[in-house]
Amino acid sequence: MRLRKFKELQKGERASRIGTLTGIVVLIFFCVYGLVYQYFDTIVVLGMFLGIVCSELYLHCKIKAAECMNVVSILCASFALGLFFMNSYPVWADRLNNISMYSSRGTLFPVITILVLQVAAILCEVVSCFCVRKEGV
Amino acid sequence: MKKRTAIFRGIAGISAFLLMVTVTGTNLLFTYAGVINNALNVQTNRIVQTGESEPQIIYDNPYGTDITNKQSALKVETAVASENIAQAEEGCVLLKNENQTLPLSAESRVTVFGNGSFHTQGTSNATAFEAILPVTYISSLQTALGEENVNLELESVYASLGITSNTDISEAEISDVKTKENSWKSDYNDAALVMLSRVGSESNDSAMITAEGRHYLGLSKKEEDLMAYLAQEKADGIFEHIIVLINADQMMELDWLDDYDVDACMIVGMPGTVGFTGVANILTGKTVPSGHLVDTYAADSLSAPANVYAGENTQKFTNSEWLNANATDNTNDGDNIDWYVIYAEGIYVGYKYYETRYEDLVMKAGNADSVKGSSTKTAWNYQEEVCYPFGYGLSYTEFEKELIGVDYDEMNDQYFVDVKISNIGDYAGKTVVQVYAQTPYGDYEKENLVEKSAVSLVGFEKTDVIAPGESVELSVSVDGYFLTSYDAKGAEGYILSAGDYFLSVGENAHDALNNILAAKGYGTADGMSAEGDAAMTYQWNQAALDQDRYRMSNVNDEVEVTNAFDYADLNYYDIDFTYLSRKDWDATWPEKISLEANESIKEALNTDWYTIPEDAPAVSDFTQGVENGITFADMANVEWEDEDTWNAFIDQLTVEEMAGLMLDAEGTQGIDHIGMPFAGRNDDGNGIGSALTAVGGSGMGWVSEVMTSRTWNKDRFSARGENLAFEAAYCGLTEIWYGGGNIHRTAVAGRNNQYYSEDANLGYFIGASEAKSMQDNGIVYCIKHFALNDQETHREGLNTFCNEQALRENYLRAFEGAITKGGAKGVMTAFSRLGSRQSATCPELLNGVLKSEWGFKGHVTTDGYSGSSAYKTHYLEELASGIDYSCLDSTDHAAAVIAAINAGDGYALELLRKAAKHNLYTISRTVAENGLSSGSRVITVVPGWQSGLLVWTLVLIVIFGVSVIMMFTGLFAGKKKEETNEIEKI
Repeated sequence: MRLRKFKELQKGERASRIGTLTGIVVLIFFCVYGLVYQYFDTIVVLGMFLGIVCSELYLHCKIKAAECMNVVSILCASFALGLFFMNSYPVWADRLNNISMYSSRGTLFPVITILVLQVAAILCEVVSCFCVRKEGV
Repeated sequence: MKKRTAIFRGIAGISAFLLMVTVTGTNLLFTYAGVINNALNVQTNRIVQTGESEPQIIYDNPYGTDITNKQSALKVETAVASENIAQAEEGCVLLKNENQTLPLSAESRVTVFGNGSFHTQGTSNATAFEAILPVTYISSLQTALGEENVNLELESVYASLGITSNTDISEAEISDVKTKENSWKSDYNDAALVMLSRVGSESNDSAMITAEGRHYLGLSKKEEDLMAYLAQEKADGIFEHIIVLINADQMMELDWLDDYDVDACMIVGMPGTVGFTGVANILTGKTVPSGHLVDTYAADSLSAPANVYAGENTQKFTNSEWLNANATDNTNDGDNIDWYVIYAEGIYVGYKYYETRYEDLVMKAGNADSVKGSSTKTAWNYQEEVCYPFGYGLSYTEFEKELIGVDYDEMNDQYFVDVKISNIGDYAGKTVVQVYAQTPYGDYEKENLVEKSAVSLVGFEKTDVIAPGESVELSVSVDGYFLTSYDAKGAEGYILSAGDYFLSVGENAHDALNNILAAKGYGTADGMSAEGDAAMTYQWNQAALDQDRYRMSNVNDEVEVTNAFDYADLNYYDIDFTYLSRKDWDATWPEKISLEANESIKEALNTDWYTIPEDAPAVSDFTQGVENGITFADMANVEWEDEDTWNAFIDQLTVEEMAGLMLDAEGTQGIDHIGMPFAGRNDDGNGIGSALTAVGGSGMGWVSEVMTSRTWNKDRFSARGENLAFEAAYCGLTEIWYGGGNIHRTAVAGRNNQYYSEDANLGYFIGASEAKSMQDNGIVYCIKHFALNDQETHREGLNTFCNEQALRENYLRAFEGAITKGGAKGVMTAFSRLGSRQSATCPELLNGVLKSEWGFKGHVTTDGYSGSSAYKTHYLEELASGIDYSCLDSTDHAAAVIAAINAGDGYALELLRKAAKHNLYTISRTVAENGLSSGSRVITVVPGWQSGLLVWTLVLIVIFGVSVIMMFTGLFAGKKKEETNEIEKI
């Protein structure tokens, strides 16, 4: 199995690849953010990671069962997104109310950045889901 | 792959995304269901009457008890609006009024200056009813003077500016102001009205120094330019008068008023939604001002010794890395453990500092003339330090006061100070009789470090309106308790010092002290700022030190009052520290020191001390979940002391139900089988944070708490409590986290607008009045933040070191008044620490002083809970310390206590039963009892948004499931028909 170049990919595969790359970026971003601000969450990381893995499986496995891997990728990534958002409530509550009651760390900027990137990665996968993959390419 | 299959896969993808987000989001939303229900104005239970017993109305509301009735709600809000205007009329403080400037004559033509005129602090622009219009400063002027008489040309200049923040003062460039000067050169120049704003808020102390290097509470460069310009315009004959209005509850530096030829100055504070009507009524003379300061207004806002450790001067332990590596509660880079302040000033806060040092200066004692603490860097001089003393306030009329005499009622330990008041001016108005005490400061006190303020407010009364030429007599009662001092070293309790005592009637704290000094034989030749009037004082002598009379609690003569807070004092931690003493102002003046946290501090920071006593009961000693046939309605009149009935009632509850009472989602969930409905709570931020049930709109934005304080009118204090109670009831609440028991330790403290005063004795009276009227109307007055939460900077986990005398006389006393005199049934602890111990895990504070010494009958909550702060997660320690529920905790406290009980901890069950009693007793003394009877049953109603969310989740599951099935069908059906080339190929 060789890593195909971007231009060799079909339309849906390109979307999935962009989603994968975005997912990798957001995973790294989250890990750094989590370590710096003590918000590291193994389950969120696992969700993001599985999302990336499934996305890659979709790209590289040309078996019928792999056709659903981008859906599984969305499930994992969306779960990570929701869990991250839920866990970030102290930051939202403190920043939006301009208080320090929830002992939150950092600003909303990294939180929003992670959310936006993760949503972008998921949307790419959704696009790939809608695209027909032709065999033999 | 077929296109159809891809479409189903896409739908599966979208539904998967929405499903996961919904599932995780639902968890969060359900956790904060109470908060959402409050916001959406949703009722979660319904009361059904069974049997023949009649529903009871225990807390009658003059507007009716049907809170869904819009007309009644309108009446409530109309009354609240009217009360707010009255509060503003009595809460504004006239500081200066020369050249017959105020009141403004009818149809004066004026120009408004200052960004604060258009971006005003402490107001709101909405009400729940169209019939009640919000009132801005500008609209109030237009109404009072006539729209055509108010020049608003500068509005366009200020429009682009923001509102002043707690760090940045927003004001226009003088060059921009001058672009509009044609509008006032020949008209609109009867007066220049200048509004200056400052602000602090929750979590945000005001800055001490701004980016331009000036005091935040002094004038900014642009404000200075504006004032200089106006002074020149006045000198040039353009403006007849300059009037400055202070839109701030922080104590601004006002030593510049004469420099810019300001004729009149008035504190208008934070007037809320409609209070500016009251402000305008004063400006135009419809009302005569009668407010008085509740803080000292210093020329240098940073000159008081408390500023050495406060706000921006909050310190970090020098070895925080060591502390962070070793303290168990470090979960936030040490943010909750590393910071400290020392209340190095001891009792000398506000006037207790300035007036005491003044007396010592006059009496040439204690090196009071030291340069230390002097804002001019020369020998300390009162006149250069204080612009307006505590209690100061002018009127349009003039009153003459005469001390008729003082009687002592030994049985009740009360003095009665009788005063004759004559209105010798031209306006009808109210005035305040302020009574201050001086108690002896002798050798015993010096030896035992018992500090004495030269004067302490011990009583006051406000008159009704007195017509010109009319006289009235008024008696002010003074509790003997206020003449005691806390002696932590010698007697380890309250003492009556030996020596001369004075009661003095004065126009303010400084005037009262001058009267005492006059009685002592001092005059201006000794350096006094003015001659005093000895006839306004009453003097007696206490022959010997009395250490016994106040040994026992005021409310329970079986409880000894003695040292409880050694650990709040820095000396407890093996650190030798000297607090400020009037014995030697120079030698004991606080200098900022860098502290290294030691093992002792680290140990105090760690809160894992919960242990099960050897004689603790077993879980099996209690029977839960039995049916005794007692309903919540039956408990409405059962006394706190009736343990048998309370135990029988609580036996009916399961452990889970009792633990559920420890939780809070802006309220406590109802318990159906005992007929207890949901009991809503909410915060007060100078107005109730909930919507009116009948209409969904928010309640009124109130004048700030400190504005109410400035009325010095006990009827207004009561009216605030009463009207807030009516409003809360109409918002479906049973409790307000409200009542500002902390003090204005510094001028920059962020929540000065929510706390009563710099003086805890004044707070004692205010808390007592407000709490009583609120509790009498079935709403819990939950006073906060208990204790030592007098600043916002690093408030989470702030190590706060304070000696016991200051703690008791300055920092607990306002709470004491609300509880022992007002019957407050709610107390909220602080985020900060007493010494290094978190306030919610101080049994000496909660089980000791509060519940035992003061006889508190109610429930205690933590401040806002967050599981992400480890120092707030000592659930069992909190329970053992006296915490009854945890604010905004939807799960964790209950889960921890249930787990302990399930593991066989009978002590935890015993504590939980106590907490359950406290919670149920408190709620049973509220409007939650209205409409219930022995036969009441509570039906839980699932809110529409929750049902909708569940339906939405089910729909997504179905869509996802169907689309996945269709996708797989398409994929694998395709395999069977491979030969038919249904899978497209290239």
